[in-house]
Amino acid sequence: MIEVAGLRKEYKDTVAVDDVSFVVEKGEIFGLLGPNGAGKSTAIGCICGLLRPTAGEVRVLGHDVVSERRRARERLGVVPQELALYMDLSARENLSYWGAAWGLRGAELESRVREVLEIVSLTDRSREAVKNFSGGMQRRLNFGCGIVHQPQVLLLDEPTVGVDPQSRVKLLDLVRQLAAEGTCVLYTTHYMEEAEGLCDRLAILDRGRMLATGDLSQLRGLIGERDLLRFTGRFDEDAVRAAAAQEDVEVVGVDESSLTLALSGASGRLPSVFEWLGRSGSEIRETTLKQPSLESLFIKLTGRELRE
Amino acid sequence: MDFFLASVRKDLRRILADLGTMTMWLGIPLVIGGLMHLGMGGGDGPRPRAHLLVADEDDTLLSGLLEGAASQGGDGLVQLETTTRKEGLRKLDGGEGSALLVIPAGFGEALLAEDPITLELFTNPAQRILPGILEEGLRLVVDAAFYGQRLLGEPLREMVAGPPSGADFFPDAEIARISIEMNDRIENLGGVLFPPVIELETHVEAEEDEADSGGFGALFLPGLIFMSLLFLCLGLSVDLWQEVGAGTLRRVASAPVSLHAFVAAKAAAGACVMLAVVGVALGVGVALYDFPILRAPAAVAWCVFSGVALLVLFLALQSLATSARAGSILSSAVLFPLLMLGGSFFPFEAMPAWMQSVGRWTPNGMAVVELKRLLFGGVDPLGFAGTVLAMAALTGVAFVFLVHRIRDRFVGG
Repeated sequence: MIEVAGLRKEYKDTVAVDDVSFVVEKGEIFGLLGPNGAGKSTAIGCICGLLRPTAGEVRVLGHDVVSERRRARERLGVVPQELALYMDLSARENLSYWGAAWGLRGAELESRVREVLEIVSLTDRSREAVKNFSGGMQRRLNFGCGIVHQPQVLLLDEPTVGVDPQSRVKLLDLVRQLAAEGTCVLYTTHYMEEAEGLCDRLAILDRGRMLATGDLSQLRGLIGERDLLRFTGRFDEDAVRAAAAQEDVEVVGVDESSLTLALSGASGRLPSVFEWLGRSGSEIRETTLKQPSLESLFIKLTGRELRE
Repeated sequence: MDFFLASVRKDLRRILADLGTMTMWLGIPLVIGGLMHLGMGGGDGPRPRAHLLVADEDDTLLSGLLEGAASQGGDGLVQLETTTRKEGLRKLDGGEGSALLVIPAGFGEALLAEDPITLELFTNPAQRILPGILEEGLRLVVDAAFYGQRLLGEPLREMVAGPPSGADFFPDAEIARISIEMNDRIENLGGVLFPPVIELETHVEAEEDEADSGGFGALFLPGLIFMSLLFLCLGLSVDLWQEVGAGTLRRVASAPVSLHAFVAAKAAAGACVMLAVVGVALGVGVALYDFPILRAPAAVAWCVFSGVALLVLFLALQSLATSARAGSILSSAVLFPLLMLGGSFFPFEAMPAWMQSVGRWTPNGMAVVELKRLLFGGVDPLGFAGTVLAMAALTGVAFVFLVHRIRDRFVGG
């Protein structure tokens, strides 16, 4: 299991991760969801021991990642966001090397290399230089190198970025399979759908801070059954807030050019919303309706879209 | 240990996979060595000779003797060509001679009459050594002519005066008398001069730390070997940036293994390549330049040891840079002065004294000096042990610094 308590990482004037705490249990897929720069990779770096936390404590399988670095890493697998492969070596040689780095040797190593080649569907091309592989094949091998030693804890840092849809489905299936076998998985992504479809529990990160955590139903409960209505145009903040209060509508965010409202049954209430917005002096150019989702939760929590 | 061996295997496989680049690195010293060999005439070219132009405006027996004496440089060092003053000066301007000696009209008469007379020597400003040799040589000839005149002036004057009046030739009896007189004078002088009280015996002895096997191989090959090793180190050290770019360095850093083993494996893989390169180079030395074969194993071991030290230094240099490009520039900025000073481009023997004393303290310079001693004799055990210790200490410091920099700079701290 992974235990993160009060994790903080500072770089000179920047706080990359601030007071982040969560626990990931055996067999669980825990998602860290947030936009680029939210602090997900920094958190992963601290958990796998690459980065020394400024404050807080991180334990992997009960071992402190700073004071018991080697023990903590022995059963830890990492699949980094960027490819981490030797392009001029073959898939088999890459798997053998990374297996040896995690302590496998001899027949056990050989056997695991064969198994993983099967798992990532690269047996046919196992002796070919990796530089000749497609991007999707390289991603699958990158994943394979992270699991060759059968880790009990697996850190996946946006493993599907830039992956073709077929390979993405394959990778996500592999992650589910590993979790089903008892592996504790920490998965970072900025793809909502991926997080919703894959993770048992989630934490939403933004600007280094953890905004919310829980399973999908708990997180959806935070936003209620309300939809999100996003407008662009020209708005008078005070007038909009006053009008919204009278209509029992929550203003999630408003500035001169954009407005976000949370309300239930938004599609049926659109005419009245347009009417009272008009009364408040607003000029509307574009409207977007979002059903309750992680994305709408993120917008509710931060006032911004996840990909902004 | 398993990880170390796996890393050595991995690095060797990657080096072999990129053999083209490595061959290019090694090709540079080979090309330079080949050019040097050609430039030096392969050690078998003709020896340089002083080209002395002589304008004999006197054209007498004595001027002829002087002319002959001037051309008697040891081992045919002086090549004499008779010419006129005008033609000689023209040739000298065209760089066709080392010097022009003008024997003025009246030289013979003045010499016999013990009157002052001046010989003119024009030297070629484009040459430095050969005209100097001619000038010194002519001074000796002039001195010899003076003493010859003092000794044999009288019979010579009789000869120059010509046969008795009314005769076209010297009568045989007259020739015999003059010859006997000259012989008596020389024999009398011989009694005074010989045997010489002081004898000069010349021994040519190799300097203690210089090669006792001369020629191109001994002079240039040790430097060229280290030129190859330095280029190899430059090529291999770039691998640090390839590991950074490929993300593999961070992956290794997250594994339960030591970064020391990872870096040491790079040095060990480099050592294997160096072993092959140095083995071939010294094999060439044994085959073509008569390097002593029994000393070759120690020389190979020394080259590989020093090569690994240089590789670790270059890896540490790369770790100081902020990017692969900066690393390349920084390494090149260090490489070329090391090549110039450390006896790789030019052997120490051809360097000015100040440059030698600086160059012998560079890491590759120390290695070249010891390699020559190992190959051609003159190893001072204490001095050698000191050099080994200094190299080992330098390597150790660079190694620790490198691992620290990798952890701090490339992995994330």
